[in-house]
Amino acid sequence: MNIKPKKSELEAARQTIKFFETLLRATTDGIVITDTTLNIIVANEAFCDIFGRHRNELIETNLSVWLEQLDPGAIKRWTELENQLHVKGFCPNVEFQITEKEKKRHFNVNASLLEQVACEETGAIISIWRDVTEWKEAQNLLEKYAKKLKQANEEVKQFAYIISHDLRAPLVNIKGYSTELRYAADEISSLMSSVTPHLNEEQKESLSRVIKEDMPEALGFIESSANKMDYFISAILKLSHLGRHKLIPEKIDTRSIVESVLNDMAHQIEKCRAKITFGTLPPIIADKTSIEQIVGNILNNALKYHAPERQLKIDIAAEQADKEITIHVCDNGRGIAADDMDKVFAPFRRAGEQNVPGEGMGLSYVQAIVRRHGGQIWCESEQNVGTTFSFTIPAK
Amino acid sequence: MVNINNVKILVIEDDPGHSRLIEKNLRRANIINEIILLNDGKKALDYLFGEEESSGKEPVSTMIILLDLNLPVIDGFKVLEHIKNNACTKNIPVIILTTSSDSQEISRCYDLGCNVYITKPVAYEKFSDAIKKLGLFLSVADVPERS
Repeated sequence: MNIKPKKSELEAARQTIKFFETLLRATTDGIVITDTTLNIIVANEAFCDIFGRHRNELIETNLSVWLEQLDPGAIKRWTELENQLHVKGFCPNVEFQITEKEKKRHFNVNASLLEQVACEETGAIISIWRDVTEWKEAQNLLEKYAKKLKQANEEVKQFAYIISHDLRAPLVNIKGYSTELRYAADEISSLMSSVTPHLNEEQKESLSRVIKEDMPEALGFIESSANKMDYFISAILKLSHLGRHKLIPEKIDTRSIVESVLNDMAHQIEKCRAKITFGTLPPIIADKTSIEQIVGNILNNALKYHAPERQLKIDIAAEQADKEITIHVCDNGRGIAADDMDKVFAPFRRAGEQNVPGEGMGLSYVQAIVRRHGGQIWCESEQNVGTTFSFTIPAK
Repeated sequence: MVNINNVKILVIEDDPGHSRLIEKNLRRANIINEIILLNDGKKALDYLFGEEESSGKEPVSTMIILLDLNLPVIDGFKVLEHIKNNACTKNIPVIILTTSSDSQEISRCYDLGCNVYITKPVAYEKFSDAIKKLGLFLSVADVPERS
């Protein structure tokens, strides 16, 4: 009996085909369907574009012919892909490259076994070819930058070594020989009494000025400058060592750390009658000593730079998000002028009136430690109103 | 037993200022031994292993070596390695005297067999004190006779 499909069924089938044809044409991924011997049954326009061929040139040819135009090893990778297809029914993310006018393009291929659909007896393979050239190039660029960054880091380390050795060597001489000169001046000084009787008043005065004033003054400046330089060199060295210090992350009760830091500062807190308040401080995972240093430094600054005309208030609060915990230390101290904000974390820079002793290194160290933990630090401030220092520690 | 006054002090140091300061302070510490100043690693190796010695003229007397690490031509690490790898020189006490306080360098020197590692302090009082103490140490050190 010959059953003829109804007109409406034929129409429905045509519509379905049309729907799939539109879908195939519209997608930017190359799609190709072959039978299991790799004869091409269906190829969309995006797939034809990959090989720069017209569809007629591809249909009913063998995919392996085209695979040969790809990078060496493509055939072998395709065979592995097929092996996986027969085991699992699909194979994700196999990479192929094609070089076209000296430009290399990269494709990420996902394949699935289509059983008894396109080719009833043997089944078929559908593979989707996605052009990942831009992504790949971006990735290569990223790798290149990472390599450069690593190299730059090595150079910085090398630089720290040069500072420690090469700059210290001349300092040893400057300090050494200025002390030798001091010894010499002392010796001349002790011989003075035997020389003075032979000199007139003017000569006596001149000699005494040179030995008692000019020489000690000059030596004093040489020595204090050499000391300062030694301090700078040591500070830079310490900064670079912080970057190498081994962190031991552990679960920390933030509140008890803050309390113990405050305890160590009890004397200063009492002296400026500071009022300190806390919010809830959730536990964090970090290196304990580092957190003590960060909190200690920020609180110490708040105490040092308080506004004498009002009672100092410091509030310590925390904000917990999925990926990180932010800790804010907010004071009502003298604040930082907008012009000085860029000096805050810079080494050897101090902002505002220099009426309290300091070396200008504290926040540089703090920034280095926070960054070492993968966090960030920043501050917001208004002059004569107060400052808030905030830092993040990633939640692990 | 070696007469300590016959022991030569070999100062291998490229900075002329430093070697003079070392010399001055050793003298201040009443060290009267002969002090030989050499300003690069190659000269040091030539002095220790060079022609004069192998020609069998006068054998190099017992000595103590003060060695800097950052030296031209052949660096201090290599000099140290040569001294400690040679049966004739391995018993000579070698004191590393350098500006670096890098822990990796310190342990590298001890691995190579240095006897003492001293960092040159920038503060001169400490520097001269270190050299004077070194002088005191040298005056009681037991220096092995050359085999």
